[in-house]
Amino acid sequence: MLNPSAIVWKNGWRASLARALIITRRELRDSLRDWRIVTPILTLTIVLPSVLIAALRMGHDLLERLGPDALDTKILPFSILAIGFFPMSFSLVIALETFVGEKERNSLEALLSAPLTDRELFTGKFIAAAIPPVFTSSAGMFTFVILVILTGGTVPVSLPLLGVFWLLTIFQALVMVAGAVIVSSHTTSVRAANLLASFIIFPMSIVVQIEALILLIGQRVTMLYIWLALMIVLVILLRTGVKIFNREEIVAREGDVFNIKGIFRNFGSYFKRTPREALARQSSNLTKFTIWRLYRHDIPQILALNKASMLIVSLSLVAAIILGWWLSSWKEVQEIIGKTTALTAGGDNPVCSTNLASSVNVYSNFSLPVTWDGIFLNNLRSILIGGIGSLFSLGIAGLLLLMIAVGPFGLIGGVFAQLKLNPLPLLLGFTLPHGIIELPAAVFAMGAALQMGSAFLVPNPGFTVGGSLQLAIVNYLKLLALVVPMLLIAAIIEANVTPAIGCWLTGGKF
Amino acid sequence: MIEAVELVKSFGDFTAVHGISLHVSEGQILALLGHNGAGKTTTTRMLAAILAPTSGYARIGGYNSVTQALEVRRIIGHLTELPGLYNRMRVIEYLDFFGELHAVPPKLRRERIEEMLQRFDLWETRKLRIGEYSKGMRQKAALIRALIHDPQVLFLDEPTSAMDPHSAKMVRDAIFELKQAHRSIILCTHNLAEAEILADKIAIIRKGQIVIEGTSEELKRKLLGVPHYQVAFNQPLTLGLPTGLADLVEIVEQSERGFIFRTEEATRNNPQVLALLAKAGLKVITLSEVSRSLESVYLKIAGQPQDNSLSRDEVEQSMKKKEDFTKNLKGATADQAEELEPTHPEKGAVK
Repeated sequence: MLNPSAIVWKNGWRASLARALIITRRELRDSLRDWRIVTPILTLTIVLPSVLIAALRMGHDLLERLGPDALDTKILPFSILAIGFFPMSFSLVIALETFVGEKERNSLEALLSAPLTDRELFTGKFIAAAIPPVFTSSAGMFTFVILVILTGGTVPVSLPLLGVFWLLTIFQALVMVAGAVIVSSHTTSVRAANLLASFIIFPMSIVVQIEALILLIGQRVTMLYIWLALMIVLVILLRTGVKIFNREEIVAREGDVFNIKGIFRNFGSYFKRTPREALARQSSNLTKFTIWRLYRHDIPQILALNKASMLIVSLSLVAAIILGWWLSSWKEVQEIIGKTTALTAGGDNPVCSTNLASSVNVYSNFSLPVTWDGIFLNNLRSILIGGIGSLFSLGIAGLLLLMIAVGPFGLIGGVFAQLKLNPLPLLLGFTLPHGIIELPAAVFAMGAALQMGSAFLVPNPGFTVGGSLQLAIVNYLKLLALVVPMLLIAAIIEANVTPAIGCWLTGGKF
Repeated sequence: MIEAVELVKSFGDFTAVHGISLHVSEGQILALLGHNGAGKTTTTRMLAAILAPTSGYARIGGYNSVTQALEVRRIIGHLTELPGLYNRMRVIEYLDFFGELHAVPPKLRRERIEEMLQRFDLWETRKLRIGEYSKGMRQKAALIRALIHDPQVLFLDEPTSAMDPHSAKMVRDAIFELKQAHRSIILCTHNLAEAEILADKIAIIRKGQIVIEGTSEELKRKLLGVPHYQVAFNQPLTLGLPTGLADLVEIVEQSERGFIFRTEEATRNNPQVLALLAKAGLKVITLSEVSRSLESVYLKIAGQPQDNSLSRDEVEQSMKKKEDFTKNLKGATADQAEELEPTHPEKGAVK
């Protein structure tokens, strides 16, 4: 029995504050136990300031370059897009609540007992969630345009292009809603879903920034291509959403506690198991972990499991080369190229007397000495940055990084074609010897990175988002056991063999 | 109508249901009793085609709960443990929504909604938003939702929890009518009295297994042994009980004004007991069965703290012991009966 005199009720502001802090402690503990709160807070704290500074510098430079009319001709059209984007990000809350909100309010089970197929349920929810953002974005854009006209301004966009802007905005909204509904059907609380929304808004804001860049450059028709890309992404998301929608998992999942011990235990258990054993949640007859098993079973299994994502990465590489080639026809790009003197028809190739490796190195800002170890460290760093970036961008950052790295090859090819020169000896000679190893290594690594990013949207059947993510990270790390040696070999070839072959093939001249 | 065979459900390393088999015919009510977390809800979710069993199968109205899940959902009504309604809707809108999902034609829907709301005393409050309803009213609204399409099979999880006695009786009457209308019902409840009143069969679940199943009487007999009978005299017992009585039945307890005995063959032995007492000049006021509640059965199996309660094996052992005892008793009484028969059969009417 508790002695009543043991309880002393204190008054005064200190005691009052102490009681308030009891609430604070509980709330904080609760929040910090949720990895979905902790991770974005830490990430955004570190990433956002640097992104903002870079964006400000870029904006400043651009305004200087574009001149005094930039506000009307460049910024206003972008504002129409931005006006459409903001309301949709707020309306996203509805999409994020679709399933998990009902689960929290205990009304979901009755709905799941109703005679509806998974597709019907998902589609119904998707349409309901899509209507508010589509409507608010459209209304926002319409109001903005009307207000510009009413206040005596002119809209520097033709009506068909305005239609493209509208379509773009609608599809951005639909893509975000599709992502949010998928997130909602795979999370255990509304709070978790809202936090994961940043992983939807972040990639989409990258798309908006690309749109802004294109607007500033003036290639407005390119918007149509972005619209097409968004449409493809939407179809993929909807198909994936319906495919992975599982009413059982929605009902069965409970809790998102940030359990460090549990996380380590999971990592350990996924590491010990082969990827297939981990996926099957096999707990008996496990194959013993050895280095031999890692190369003989784990890595081949990971590559087999990542087939789809590696295909996406490969297609992105092809797209990047085509895009690079296409960019070479842009007036603005040609102007830039025209200013450079490196690519002069019939000129001596300076690389043959030094080293070509850095001339197509997109990471020039981070360039390391062009020796085998410098190349190796640079490539390894790119792979790791791509992996980490993918984690926070649904895999998009890794893909973009690789596309940016490969795109210049298309650009060089395009420029050579315009100069009526054969780009093949240059491209093959200076890339193929090491590229034959480096490129597959990059595809393997970025495929695994894409798996990590997509774990948020497409968790493995029977796994939570966290569990899927942990397994994807373990698989990525295991795959490094193959990728790192490949990068090492490629770097040695690139530093010592490639220049010789390249110079021999091109005869030291372009 | 409802058939489950060796249903197993695992979530990762945790197995919530270990091989549950059950059968509920048309017009039958099966009550599932058990602790919170015993596996009742998981079982009903599997039967309602929300969860797919890890192994085993279930057929509802002849439809497989996994491969014909949609058909199963069409013929079932599912009252979930927590009513979980759409608080911003009015009850008519809410019921209309579910009626529409179940493809009830609009006119019929309107009629049915009015009929059900009237029946469950919600008609007067139909214009309120569900958020304004009391717990009991919400529970009734949820029950109507489960009944709106007049399903062949019903899974009712705590249908009368949070209800006042009047409403609870109203719901019990409705369930009884559904039974009369040949509906198959699985009732998950903690209300043992309700289970005893309504259910044809009772299954007690513990740690994901049905540890015992049968009618209320069968369960009592299996777990509490043969029935006990109490005899009361109109005067204190001075000379003791007549000789031969202890050979006929087992005397469990004796006091000045009466005694308690048990016998497996009440129909046969009780008249003989009365005859023996009358012969000895003892005036009997009452001879009645000592009431034994379902609660005693439930507590024996599931009511103990989890680690002390009986496992399926222990229940089976306990039941075997009871059966052995009963057999012995039966044997003894049969032998004794041969010796004592026939006595005064006209006095044999014992209730």
